[in-house]
Amino acid sequence: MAETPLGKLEGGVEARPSSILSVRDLVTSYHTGEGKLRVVDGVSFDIRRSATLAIIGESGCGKSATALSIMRLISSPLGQIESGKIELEGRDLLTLSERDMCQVRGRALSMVFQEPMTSLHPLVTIGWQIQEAVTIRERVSRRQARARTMELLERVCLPEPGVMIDTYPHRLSGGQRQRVMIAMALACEPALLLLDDPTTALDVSTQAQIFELLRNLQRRCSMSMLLVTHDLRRVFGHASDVVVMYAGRVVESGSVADVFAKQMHPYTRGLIESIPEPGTTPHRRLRTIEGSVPDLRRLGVGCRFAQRCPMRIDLCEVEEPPLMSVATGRSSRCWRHDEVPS
Amino acid sequence: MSDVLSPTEPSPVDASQHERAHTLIATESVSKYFPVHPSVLGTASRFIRAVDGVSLRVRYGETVAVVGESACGKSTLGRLLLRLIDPTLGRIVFEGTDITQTPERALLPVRRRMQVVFQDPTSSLNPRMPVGEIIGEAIRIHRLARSRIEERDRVARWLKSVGLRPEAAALYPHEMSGGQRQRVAIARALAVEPRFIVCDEPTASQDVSTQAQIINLLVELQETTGVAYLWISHDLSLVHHVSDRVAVMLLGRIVEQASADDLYDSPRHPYTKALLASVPQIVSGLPPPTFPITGAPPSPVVPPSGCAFHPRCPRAVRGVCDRDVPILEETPRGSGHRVACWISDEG
Repeated sequence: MAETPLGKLEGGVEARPSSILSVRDLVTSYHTGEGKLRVVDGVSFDIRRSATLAIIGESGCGKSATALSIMRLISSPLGQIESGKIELEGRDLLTLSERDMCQVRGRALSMVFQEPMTSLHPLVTIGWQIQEAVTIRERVSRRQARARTMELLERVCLPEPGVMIDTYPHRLSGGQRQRVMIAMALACEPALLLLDDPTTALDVSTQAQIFELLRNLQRRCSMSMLLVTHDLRRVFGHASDVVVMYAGRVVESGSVADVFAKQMHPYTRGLIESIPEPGTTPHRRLRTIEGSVPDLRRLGVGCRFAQRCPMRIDLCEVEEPPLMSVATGRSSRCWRHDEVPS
Repeated sequence: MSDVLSPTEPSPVDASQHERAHTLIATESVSKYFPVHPSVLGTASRFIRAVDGVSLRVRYGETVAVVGESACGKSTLGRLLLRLIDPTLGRIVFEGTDITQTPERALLPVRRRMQVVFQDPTSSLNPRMPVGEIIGEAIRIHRLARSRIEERDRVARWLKSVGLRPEAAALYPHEMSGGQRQRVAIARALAVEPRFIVCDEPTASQDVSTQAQIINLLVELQETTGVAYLWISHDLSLVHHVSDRVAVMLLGRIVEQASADDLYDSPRHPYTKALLASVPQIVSGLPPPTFPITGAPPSPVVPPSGCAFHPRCPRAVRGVCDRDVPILEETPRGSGHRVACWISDEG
């Protein structure tokens, strides 16, 4: 192993005992026509018990690939998990057989996907789809399963569960369908719920309701959550910790309050500044991050954000900074992390 | 000087003439009803009032935002203005001409003056055409270039004005990122030099950083070309940055209309207040909102009686709000702030 710089975090760090999930040096690649692409490249983070961790970043930064890796839903020929460790309550998921993993999925670990329109079977009633999730995991009678389904529909605040249970997905609105997805994910009371941009396709008012629901469910079942999103406004107030990803790398992490109060990476600062918010930025102009996410096939040796960075210095072009511990519970992958303006 | 002698307040007649001269496009109580067919062969017994008596005015060079939840009729209104669909009732006046009844053949010169940018550039751009052809086709249909060379020059110029390199003309849409594709859609709309563009959620499918780039681009292009926008969105905090005036729609009707600053500083309709409260404010450091709206948006097929917001309204008064539909009226403060609510004056 290369010489470890002071405060370097990558590798060799033990999982914190208070965490439910600990990801260490995860590398996941997608197979493309032009060879392997490392979409997740050495990612490490912990999710604290009963807390919500948010992963943010633009599309193509590896956020969803990280969530899919945790579910172990990335397989050949699409791609593969190359290396690393994913420990759920002390058990390394990457060493489990597919059969054992099936026992983990749905029970200890559940996921809500981005598009409720495509994740529900159009020809099967809502009730059957949730019931399936219930009966696969537990041996229960049909009547018990139906009762449990009703209970789940009630819990996600769907109106008239008695009618809803025999309804087909096309009759529901986008928000209702997402509630069904959440009910299904909750069927076996998972310890950790993964949410991949659960509200992108929804109205702002419906988004607020879904997050309100998630917050209440979390409070009641002391569930941990991983929220993958590009909507930073939702991170604020719903998550307790945040990991910022850029081009497959973690570039900054810390508690939401700390990161939003003071950014220690210019990318995070750029993301937060580009949020439109009435009364805070000059009328009719938004701050932006110029350019776009780099092509993973053509990465240089330097910092991956250097091309778009307003604080770039010569060092950034030739050497990629390691993820450094910069304050208590804070880490940043920037040579000039203490100079980021606030 | 004659200025000194002229009255400071224009007479009502002058004001309306002045208003008319500056109006680019206006709807007069325009409505669109869609039939609901109970079965495949059945005749329509009910109608969805997607747009119900909306009067809206867009002046030259300004941006009017239409905001509301899904199925409130905002996109239908945009399509009506463009004459992509025909209104059931009411009139649409574009540059002083009533275009409500204009036959399809005669619409071509009008279409050159009004364009649209849709939400999803992946489905609004032809996947089998290179970008140069996508933009060039618009120029050709409206005969804006005298030769192929001039057409190519124009395409290159528009690509440059939306921040793309001229070489992008050879690329196909799938070879570009979502943000770049939306830039192509904007270039195509601008290539025919319109006065009016309907932007139907142009950034809803984009990342926050790309969203900011696209918004800034549209604002810059407005400053250079003087084009007017009708900006359709469900996100009230976003439209504040781009719009001069905002209309909030609920179930086919405008429930509040004001200048952008007025609407954010002093929203009057409980629905507007709820929409504003549904987005967390980061920079101000306010705690996350507890959304006051609990129910689902009302069904357009079976609309609630009276005010469409009353089933979800925290301040609804029984016997008032559920009886009659409130009329959109000027608030006592004036300045064009109008609201349709029975109880908005009580604080």
